[in-house]
Amino acid sequence: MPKALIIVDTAPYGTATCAEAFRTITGLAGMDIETATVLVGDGVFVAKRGQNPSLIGMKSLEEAYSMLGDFGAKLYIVRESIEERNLKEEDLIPADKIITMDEFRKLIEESHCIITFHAGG
Amino acid sequence: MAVLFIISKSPFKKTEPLLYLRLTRQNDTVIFIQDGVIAALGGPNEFKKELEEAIKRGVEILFLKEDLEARGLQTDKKLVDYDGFLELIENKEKVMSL
Repeated sequence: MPKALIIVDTAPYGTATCAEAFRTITGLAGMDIETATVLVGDGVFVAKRGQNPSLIGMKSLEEAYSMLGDFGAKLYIVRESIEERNLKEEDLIPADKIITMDEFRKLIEESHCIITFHAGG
Repeated sequence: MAVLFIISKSPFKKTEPLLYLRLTRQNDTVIFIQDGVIAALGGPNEFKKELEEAIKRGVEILFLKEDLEARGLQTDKKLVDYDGFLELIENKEKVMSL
């Protein structure tokens, strides 16, 4: 089975990047492609609990990414990025695993295709 | 496994180039293209340090010649032209772009 790795390294709501990543993840997983998502850098804010984006007219990415398991996609969050932002694991939605940069590297090596989502500019 | 990292963002504007440098291992290649070639100036201290460490652990650092020269920049690192860049992409086991 092909393995796709989706990397999200940008914060939610400033751009449509994280929402577009979600659409891609669910699309790939729906095509029976083994899909894993890594939140790294400011991407970890996608998993922050307690988001209320209706205040700025946006849909909740916290809710969206919480449903990834229902689509058969895995969610990984990089520990170093969580710690750099003074967050704790319990501040975030449940992930399949909190991974180290070394484990992130292994995922890159094991994947057949890597798609990175980061804000442009 | 050797991975090719393609970095197209300025290290002064974005922190992602630093993040991906940390993922590099021995025998990997990093090529700076587009605004990424601004790394030829060294970049912020943390980035500069990470780049030096990457070189020490055996990561090859390249710059895309056309993008570097278009911006009037120079580097003592190895330059690769468009054709060489395409060859790299074809020959590496894994390619990751930023």
